Amino acid sequence: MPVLPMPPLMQNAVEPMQVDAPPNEDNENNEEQQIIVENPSIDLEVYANQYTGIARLYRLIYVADVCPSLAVEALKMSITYVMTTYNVNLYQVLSKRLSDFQSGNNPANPNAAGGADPAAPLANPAQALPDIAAHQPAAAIAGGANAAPNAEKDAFAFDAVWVDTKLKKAALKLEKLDSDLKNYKSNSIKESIRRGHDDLADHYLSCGDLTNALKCYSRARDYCTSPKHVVNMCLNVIKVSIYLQNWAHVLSYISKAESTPDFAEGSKEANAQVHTRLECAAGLAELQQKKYKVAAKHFLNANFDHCEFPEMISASNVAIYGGLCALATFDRQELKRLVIASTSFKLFLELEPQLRDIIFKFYESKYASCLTLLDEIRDNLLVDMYIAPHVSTLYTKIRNRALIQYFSPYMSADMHKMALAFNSSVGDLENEVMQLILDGQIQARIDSHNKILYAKEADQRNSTFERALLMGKQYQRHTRMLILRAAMLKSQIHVKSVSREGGNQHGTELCVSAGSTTTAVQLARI
Amino acid sequence: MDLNMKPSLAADEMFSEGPGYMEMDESGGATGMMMDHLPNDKQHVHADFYNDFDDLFDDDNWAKIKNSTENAK
Amino acid sequence: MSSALENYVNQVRTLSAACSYRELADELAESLSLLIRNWSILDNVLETLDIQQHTLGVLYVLLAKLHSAPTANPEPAQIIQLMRDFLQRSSVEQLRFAVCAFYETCHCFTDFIVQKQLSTLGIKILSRAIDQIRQMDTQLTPLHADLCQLSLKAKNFSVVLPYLDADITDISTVAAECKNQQQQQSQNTMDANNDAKYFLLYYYYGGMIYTAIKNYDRALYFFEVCITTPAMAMSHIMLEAYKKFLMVSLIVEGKIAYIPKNTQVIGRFMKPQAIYYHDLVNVYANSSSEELRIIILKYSEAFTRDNNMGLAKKVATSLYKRNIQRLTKTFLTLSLSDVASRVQLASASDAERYILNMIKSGEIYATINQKDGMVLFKNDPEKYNSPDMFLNVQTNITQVLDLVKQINKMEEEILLNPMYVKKSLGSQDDDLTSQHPKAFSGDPTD
Repeated sequence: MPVLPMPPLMQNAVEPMQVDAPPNEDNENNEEQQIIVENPSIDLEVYANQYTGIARLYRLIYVADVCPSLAVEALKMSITYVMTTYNVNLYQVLSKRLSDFQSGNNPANPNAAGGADPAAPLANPAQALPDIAAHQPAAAIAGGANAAPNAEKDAFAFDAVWVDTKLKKAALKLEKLDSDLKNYKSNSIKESIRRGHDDLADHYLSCGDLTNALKCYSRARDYCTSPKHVVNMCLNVIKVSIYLQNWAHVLSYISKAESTPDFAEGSKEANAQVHTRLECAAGLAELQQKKYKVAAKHFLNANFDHCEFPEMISASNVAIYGGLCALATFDRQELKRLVIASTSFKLFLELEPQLRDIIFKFYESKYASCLTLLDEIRDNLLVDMYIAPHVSTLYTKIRNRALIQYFSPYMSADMHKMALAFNSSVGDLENEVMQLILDGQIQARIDSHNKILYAKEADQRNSTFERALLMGKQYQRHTRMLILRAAMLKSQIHVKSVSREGGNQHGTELCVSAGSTTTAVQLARI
Repeated sequence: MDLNMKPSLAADEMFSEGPGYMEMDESGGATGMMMDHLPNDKQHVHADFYNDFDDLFDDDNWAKIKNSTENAK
Repeated sequence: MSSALENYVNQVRTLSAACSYRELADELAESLSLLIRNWSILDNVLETLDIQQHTLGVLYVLLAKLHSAPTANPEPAQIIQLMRDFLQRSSVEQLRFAVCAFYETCHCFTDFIVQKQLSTLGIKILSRAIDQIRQMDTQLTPLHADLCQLSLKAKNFSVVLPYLDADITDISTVAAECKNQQQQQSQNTMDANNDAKYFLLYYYYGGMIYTAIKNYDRALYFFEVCITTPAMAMSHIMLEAYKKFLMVSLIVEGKIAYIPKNTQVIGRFMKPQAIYYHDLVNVYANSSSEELRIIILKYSEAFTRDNNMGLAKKVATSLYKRNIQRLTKTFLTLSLSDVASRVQLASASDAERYILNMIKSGEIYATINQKDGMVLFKNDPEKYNSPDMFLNVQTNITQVLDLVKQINKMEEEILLNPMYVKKSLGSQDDDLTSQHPKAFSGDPTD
């Protein structure tokens, strides 16, 4: 688990953090392979309203990062939303970015000022939080200065008064929650202490201080008096860990929650919501770690009626993430049995009719239209912070799967027709198929002269002979070396360290040391 | 395709449990016994062994490869 | 002849006549420095001795002659003739009592003729020496390394190959010989690592010979033995073997299929000293001949310094071949120009040359249609139904069974070895007591 660096306290961190900021920016600019989305067809407001809290903010900021045409709208929406929270840092960063955008200050490199965006930390999850904090003072100062000239007309101009008031309120609330907690502790009322920690964590979360939120949520653990509390604590930790993109942490707390005694034994119905939440969190974590098949299975376990957690993920997300991962990793039977025939997942797919069509087209072997539809939804996927980094890998996998399936019934296939079916040129197809053959995914060979793909008849008899002979050879090689090694031990052949005089005594001693009963070790004993 | 994949897998499994590999692992263990102590950092031996041979592995084609780079330039 | 040497001759004659070879061997070992001091009149001594009857006496004179060669500067032809005669007529029965001196004589002889650049003339002599002293065909002696060294210098491998092809089951060492004869190791062989040195040299030189004759599988085996030898210190022989091991691995497997894990020496000392070679391995994995060519040129100085440039070129060639082989797995037909562009060869005619060579050597099965410049790749025509193949399978089975028998025999020997029996009974007791700690705690003799 990566070590989370401490964020600065909001009030005091101007000087040291500025020192930290520049190298971070450099890293982001180097590492990021910036996705630019041209034509998404999403309704940003509908999209944003599916989420609450940090989830909504991060998603909007991601849209602003990757999609120039939606950036201003996304920034405005996130500013409006952030003003309902105590997250003053983020407000400052966002205001700065918006004003930069509007004054055309920084159009070429929208990311330079956006160290706080969650897109960059995708590459480096552990730094998500410090980045936000690190950039804010600089951003705040610059933002304040830049915003001033535009202030008169702009409802989104930087509001220094709001910042001041909010900071004070936040500090007051923090003080109160802190003293409450101290009170509870001195009275040793476990349940109150637990709640006190949770309240404090909620407040930190609202301030955008994820590390402290995580700490307080975890501290509640010592004061849990029922399995339900334990599960609740796990869910809180999972939530914050998702924001921090610490997927190993997410997975470990999922298994902690699942192994909580009462919860594991309790009726599924009662715990359905928790179950679905855990499945979705697990799916998300596995997806981020590129374990697509496992991710698909988790998402497919979600129960539509209990899929209600806007602070994490929406039901359409479950449909998209689960559907795409399944398409990329399931074989035909699995696709039929686990996806198409699944009554519960059907409800999810209703939310994303395009994806449903894609899955059906794929299953019906209508690859050209399937691939065309996939291309159509590509831009909409690329504005989604969790699936975007995986789109091109998943698409390649789906395409490969389609190629394999397309060819599977044939003895020979005309590559011109095949190229047509896959919206591709014969040359590109040839390269694609070649890679699949080399990977052992298609048993075939290409007649490049006539552009025909021929299935390779696997001769079991020949390959058995071939393998048997190879195995015999390897056995002989290993056995000969074993016999030689026995002779070496017997003769005490080894390179001694010269300073040790009389090294041969050393060898004698060791050669009679006891070992297990395998032949080599027995040989070694003489 | 599946049919073709399985036997090769099975063969590998058989082999990894077969006598050959196992014993080699064990023999590695046996030599491990002889290495109770960490090798000494500064110990280099056999520094003066005879190794003054002509390059016995050189055929002709390197000249061509070299030429092709020069042409490329 | 001085009186001291007269004594020497008399001693040799008397004790040889009485067949007191053990005593004689012990006495002679003491006289070596005397002989060396009198290097100028050793030929007179030789005239008074008969090789067959006085094998031990002649052996020590030979040894003294070789030791004094830097000062005496004898005629090489004379030394060679002496060795030849000696090996033809000496009595093995007597040599058994002075194996260490015999080994030393042969080592000195090898050094001498290598230095005089007459290696070719020593091959037969060393071969004869090995035949005489080894107790079975599968016994490795320290002389094997000398024979390999002479063969490499002379670039003549026909004599040494049968020795290399025999799989070793026993090793003769100076340490063991001295122990048998209750002798002190002589000055030259005092080095604790001498036995390991000749062992490593045999496998290193042997690997080089197999590499030179392009038997890469066997070369890899030899280098692997060399680098997996237990070690408490880094041997430079192992380091050089490791470099060649990496390159030959690429030629045979296209990657490093097996990194020996049993020796920390590799990770701690050899890897850092073989960085160029590891870079080569990493670049090879990308399958790009262009990248490989660039890195070989970049490191050509280091490779040349190590005398591995030729091998590096072989590695480069092997990547072209490997990539062509990949094509045969994926294509039925392909134009020569496509072959060239896919494996990064400069031209269609280069591709044609490679393919022709590979067809000739049986690495691929294909025909070239020169009219339209197409290559037609075919399957391996082997159907495993010919009498030859049947014989091949039979032979393999027999070899495997023989090995199994050999292992069983070795195990039996161990089971009957008193030391093992004692040890294993002891450890059984330990096992029992560890299972019943309470029973043991009362009375240790129980």
